[in-house]
Amino acid sequence: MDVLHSLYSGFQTALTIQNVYLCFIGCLWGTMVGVLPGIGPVAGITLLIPATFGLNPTSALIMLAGIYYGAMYGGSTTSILMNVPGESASVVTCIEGYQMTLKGRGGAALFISAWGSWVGGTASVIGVMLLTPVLADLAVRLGPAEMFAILLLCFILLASLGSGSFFDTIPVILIGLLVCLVGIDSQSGVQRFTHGITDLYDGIGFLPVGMGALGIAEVLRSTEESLLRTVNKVRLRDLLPTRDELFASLGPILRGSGLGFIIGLLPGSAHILSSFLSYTLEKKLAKNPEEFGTGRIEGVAGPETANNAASGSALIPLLALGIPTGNAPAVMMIALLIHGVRPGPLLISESPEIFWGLVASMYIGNLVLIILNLPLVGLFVKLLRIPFRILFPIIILVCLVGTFSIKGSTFELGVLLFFGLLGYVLKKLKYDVPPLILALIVGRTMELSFRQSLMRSGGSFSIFWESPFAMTLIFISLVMLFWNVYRAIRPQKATWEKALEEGA
Amino acid sequence: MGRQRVAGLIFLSIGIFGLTDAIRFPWGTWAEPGPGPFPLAVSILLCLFGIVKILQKREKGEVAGDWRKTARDFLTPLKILGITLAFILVFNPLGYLLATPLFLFVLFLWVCRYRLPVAMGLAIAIGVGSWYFFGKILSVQLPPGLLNYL
Repeated sequence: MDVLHSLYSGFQTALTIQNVYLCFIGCLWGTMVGVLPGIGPVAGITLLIPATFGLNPTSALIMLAGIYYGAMYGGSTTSILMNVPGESASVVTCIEGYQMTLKGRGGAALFISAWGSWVGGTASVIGVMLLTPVLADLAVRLGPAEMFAILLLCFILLASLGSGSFFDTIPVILIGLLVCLVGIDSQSGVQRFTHGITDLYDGIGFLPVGMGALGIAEVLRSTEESLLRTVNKVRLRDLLPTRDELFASLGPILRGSGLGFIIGLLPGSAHILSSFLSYTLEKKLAKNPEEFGTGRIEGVAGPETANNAASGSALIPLLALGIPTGNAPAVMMIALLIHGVRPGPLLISESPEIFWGLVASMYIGNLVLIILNLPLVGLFVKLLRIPFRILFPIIILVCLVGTFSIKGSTFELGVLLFFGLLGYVLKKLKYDVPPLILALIVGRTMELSFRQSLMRSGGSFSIFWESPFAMTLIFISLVMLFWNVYRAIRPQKATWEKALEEGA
Repeated sequence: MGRQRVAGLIFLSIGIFGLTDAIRFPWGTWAEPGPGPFPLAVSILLCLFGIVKILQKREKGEVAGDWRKTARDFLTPLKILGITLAFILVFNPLGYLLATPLFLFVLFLWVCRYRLPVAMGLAIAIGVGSWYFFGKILSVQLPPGLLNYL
């Protein structure tokens, strides 16, 4: 009853004319940016953060929720209509969705994708509403040792379950940790890595790094291909699916919601994992699995639902613990911090109107998306026809102005450009960039937790195993670390053993 | 040179850069750790990963890249970065309304290969339009530059 009462007050906050309008604009802009080829949803969200400057925190969050969902949804449109995955999680949507488009059933694929996204998104918002307060209550009792252990496990899991290999992700995380240490140390007042540059005393901002490493880097990568790309003309014969298609998609949508929600709680590329697992599950359960790959609606419904459900539940660790466990939550955290909102265990108790306003706006955002996107699918198709060589200068301009608007400093623009170059080079070398952003955001908390733990224990490391919770998490981290090391050296060992046998 | 070796060089360089500073930060004591240990540990780990990557053998299936193709791939992005850097340098002195159409014009002409009148038209339209959108609608404080003296 307490939850319902809080949700009611959240709706009272979210359902003002201004906030509904902002949610609508956020959904529209988010979808437009997510649809644009050459820039993925995560980079798209980053680009739109400056659009929320000047709004009060509650209104800004409401708009951001719309942008978040819109960008996630927009990525599936390019997958279905162009066979270009908006992001990695939409790869499976390409497999079936584009085949449906070629058969003239692109409209039905878009409809089911929107419908499944709504169901998955709504289910995950219910989970956010029920689980976040419980987790936040538990988190308040956590000390610095437990916090350090959680963050350590988070990084290890991110490296193990992310899209890159473990030993490719760890160095990127380490770079992020190093970057986050730039500035004046809050505990001792010592300047670290500033080299006398006053602009660095406050540290390196999240937004220029995020916009650079994600936005600019992605644009640079896209410009390697011919700038004269055109969109194939697609006939959207029927927007509405047939009764058979609707019936066939019910099961995948329900299964996708549950699967996506659970997977979304894990750090790493949960939304990618959830869509792939959902596709695999639907293929296994299908009566005619050999038909997958030819345009099966189940192959669109399940993965898209799972993807959106995972995107929603990924916000639970962010809101309850203040730990972003994925790419999009990391960007959302940047946005929240810029607006002076610190996600974590105290968010609900200190700023209940912000949390419940956000939850209510997620319900509204989901609804606005399904109302908005289906009638406007024609507009989004037209957007796809804008030549990329007109789009990318505009995207770069948005990144530059967005960064400049924070402090009015051209130094920040230099930081943006530097991280744009670094992000581009890492992408070229096939390294995953978002873990750098994640490490940048939570790195200082990790260091602070470690130092505070030792201060509390008088310099004794026993504080980490005196707490059963911290000890368990550190143990799991070590097991995962050794498992990854074993996996990495085992092939070499087999080769060495084989060579020895051949020699004998 | 394989991708892992290039990456390893990058990680090692950043690690060494971090190490040269981190060894000078105060360590404190175990009971009151200073600002030194954490950056030192991160820098050392980064150097180690860099060295491992440099020594790593080429991955299965990875063939030696054609350096000409690699150089061609980098050409457009490097052009864009160079033009953007020049824009950043003239941003404050010239002001948004003068620097932005110039920046866009160079991009449309040199990178996007539009013809001169088209590049000019697009640059002016998007430049002025973006100035109105960011400056007037979103109330972003854009530098006036030379126009401040008029």
